[in-house]
Amino acid sequence: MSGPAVVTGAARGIGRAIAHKLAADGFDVVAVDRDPKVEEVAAELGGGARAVVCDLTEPGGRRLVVEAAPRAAALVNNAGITRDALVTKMTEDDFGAVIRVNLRAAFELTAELAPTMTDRGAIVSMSSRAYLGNIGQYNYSMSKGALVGMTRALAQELAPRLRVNAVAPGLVATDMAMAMPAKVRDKLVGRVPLGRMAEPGEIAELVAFLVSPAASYITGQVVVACGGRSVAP
Amino acid sequence: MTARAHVHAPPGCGWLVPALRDAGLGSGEPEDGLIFAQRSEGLTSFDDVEAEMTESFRLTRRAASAGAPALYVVCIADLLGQRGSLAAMLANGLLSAARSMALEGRRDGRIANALGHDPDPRPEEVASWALLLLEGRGVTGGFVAVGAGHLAKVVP
Ligand SMILES: NC(=O)c1ccc[n+]([C@@H]2O[C@H](COP(=O)([O-])OP(=O)(O)OC[C@H]3O[C@@H](n4cnc5c(N)ncnc54)[C@H](O)[C@@H]3O)[C@@H](O)[C@H]2O)c1
Repeated sequence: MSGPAVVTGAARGIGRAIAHKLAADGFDVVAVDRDPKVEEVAAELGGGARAVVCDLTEPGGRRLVVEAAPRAAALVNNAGITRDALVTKMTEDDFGAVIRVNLRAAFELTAELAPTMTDRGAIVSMSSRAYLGNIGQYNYSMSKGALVGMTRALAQELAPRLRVNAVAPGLVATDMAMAMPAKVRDKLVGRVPLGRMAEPGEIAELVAFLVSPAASYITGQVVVACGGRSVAP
Repeated sequence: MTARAHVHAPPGCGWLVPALRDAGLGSGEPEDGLIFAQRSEGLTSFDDVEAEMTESFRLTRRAASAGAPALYVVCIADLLGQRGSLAAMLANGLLSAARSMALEGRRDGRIANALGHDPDPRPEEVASWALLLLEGRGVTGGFVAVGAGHLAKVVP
């Protein structure tokens, strides 16, 4: 591959799976997370992989990422958090925290890194099926819808040099999904036609496709990978 | 008919308030009903986007707590990302908010909808659809495009 691939939120879950897949595809992965465990992930990847431990909501943290990934070929904005509550019970702190991590950090990092990326590079942002609406997620759903908007705008602004897409997974078997009460999770899985959560590796395959030359005519799109939940009753 | 609502009409949406008044909407508090229009002018940094999103959250929480309906008014060009990332993030974030609010309100009959318009809308047409969507008439989580900017595009 012609340059490094930056993967945020790579210490665990979907980000870790993406880092592994992109490394297997030949990228030198720059694995970013505020959790120092990301160093172990970079060690697992071997080759030219390296870790950057930083909080992406901090300008200084994002600067470390830009410095670590000169002429990047791919950027995967994957880091994210949830702070769920019905809107009537949601606090302003919970609203702001989700907007700042899921959206502001991704937007600012993209603005800072994109000018330095190689021609024919690709950006993928991790939205969520929740962008189509979810109970108890005014903050999260708004952040993930906004990432779709960012994707559509940047696809037009950065073309033809870079392609920009988004992925919207349904439930994925990671710590984030496991943090839900089991009863709620089981009910949600019950509405998935494929009858199960996604494995992180399945989402990683989709991201790897979108950053690869195989997706060379795809930009400005959001691909929903939800096991069919977004069309089921 | 919800005759009163609080209207959030930031820069770029000055045409909306008189059009809604002419269509018969009285001024009110979010607890009566909420019409939240997307800011489309003067967005210069993410701070501006976050400020509007936070305001949407505060007003929506007040409306929802009182069981009042909410309508989010966005520009279709911004849903499609045709006028820059800042407006695109705001427009699409508000559309997702409308859908989430419709889901949360479903059990107790509280409605939320979204309305999209072109960059040069006919205010009276937007206003008359806005009143219908605020009232609901069986529509919740709906998106109505007033104009033609959505034709053959991926919106919503
Ligand atoms: N798990 C799901 O069901 C699911 C579904 C749809 C979308 N997603 C999205 O996929 C992405 C990954 O989700 P996951 O399930 O792997 O989550 P996860 O909680 O397992 O991992 C998220 C990672 O992001 C990191 N992170 C959070 N805030 C950060 C910050 N400020 N700076 C740096 N790193 C930060 C965390 O340390 C963590 O390692 C998220 O954006 C999430 O919203 C998840």
